[in-house]
Amino acid sequence: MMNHLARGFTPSSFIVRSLVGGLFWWIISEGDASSWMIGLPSVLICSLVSLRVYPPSPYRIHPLGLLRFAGYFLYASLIAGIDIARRTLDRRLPVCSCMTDFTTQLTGLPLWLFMITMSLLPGTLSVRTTQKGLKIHCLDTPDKIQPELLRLENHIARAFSLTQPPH
Amino acid sequence: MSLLAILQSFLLIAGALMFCIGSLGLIRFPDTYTRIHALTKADNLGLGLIVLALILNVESVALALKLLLIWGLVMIASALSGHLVAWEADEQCIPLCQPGETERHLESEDE
Amino acid sequence: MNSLYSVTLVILLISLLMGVFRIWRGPRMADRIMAAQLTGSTGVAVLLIFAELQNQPAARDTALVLALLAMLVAIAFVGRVWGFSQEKKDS
Repeated sequence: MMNHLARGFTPSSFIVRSLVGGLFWWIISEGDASSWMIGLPSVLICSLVSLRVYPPSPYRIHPLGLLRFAGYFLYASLIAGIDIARRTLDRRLPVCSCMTDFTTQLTGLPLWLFMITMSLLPGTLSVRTTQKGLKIHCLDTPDKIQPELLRLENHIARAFSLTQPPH
Repeated sequence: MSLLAILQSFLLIAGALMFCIGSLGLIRFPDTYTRIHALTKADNLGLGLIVLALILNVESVALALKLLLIWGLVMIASALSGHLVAWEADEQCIPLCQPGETERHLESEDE
Repeated sequence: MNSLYSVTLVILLISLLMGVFRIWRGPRMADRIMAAQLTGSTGVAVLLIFAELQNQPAARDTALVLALLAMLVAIAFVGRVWGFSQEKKDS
């Protein structure tokens, strides 16, 4: 048991997780100062437990890349909503229901983020992982959404400081 | 009416109308997969616009962040559940359906 | 401003009614669970506006919980109701 604690525990990761947990507590309690009597011990205990259950991940987050990814995501999800409105309100219902495959080198957390965010971007919905990559449902012909997916994949690779995926 | 109030009313009404568009898509779109598209994307944008409108007259930073946190949570929730339902629909081999076609073999279940 | 909040609430309720139509029609459970998902996100929007309209900050915490519950409903649905497809894959 001590071995496991020693493997996951580094002072820096403990401090980072405590700070993030503290931020969440501050937000949820709406800045109520008296709530820290319960909040501080909970945050510290949770950080300790989380390090044992989820050891620090090997990914190096690139702050600028993450910020650019967030900006791109917000803009693209706005476009996605407008795109849905355009299709829904059109009398002819210009919708094409089809499946396509997308090969990707992403794994683990970046792949998870890729699948989740793609579902909120225009015309794409992740269905499942396959041997080589992903099975995706799209509202348009597959060749139209392929460049969008490549752009999203690049943004995620940069946010996690991964090397550019070979395409 | 101040400029802020006008912006706020625009965001509120636009957000609520986005929800309606999502529901309309849920009714009009031809198959399960396209309905998931309509619902997740329209609702996400609709809630985003409403949250932005509410943030405009909030005075504490913590409260503004809390509203953003709720939006983020709903965003993850709708994207994740959309993906999970699409995955299970695929596992169940639910067929694709283009506009104009009816979902065959199923109408009998209704009537 | 208050009347504007009320108008927004009415539009959101119309949206919910349209969702009920899809639950009625189905035809598959997947369509129905997506309509339930709509209830979750619309409910969050209604509660946030309600908190502002009636000056009830606690409604925001309810919205937070509702957001989490909506996610759990979908996860539980996939795991339990359609669980047999998992068994099919394992064998």
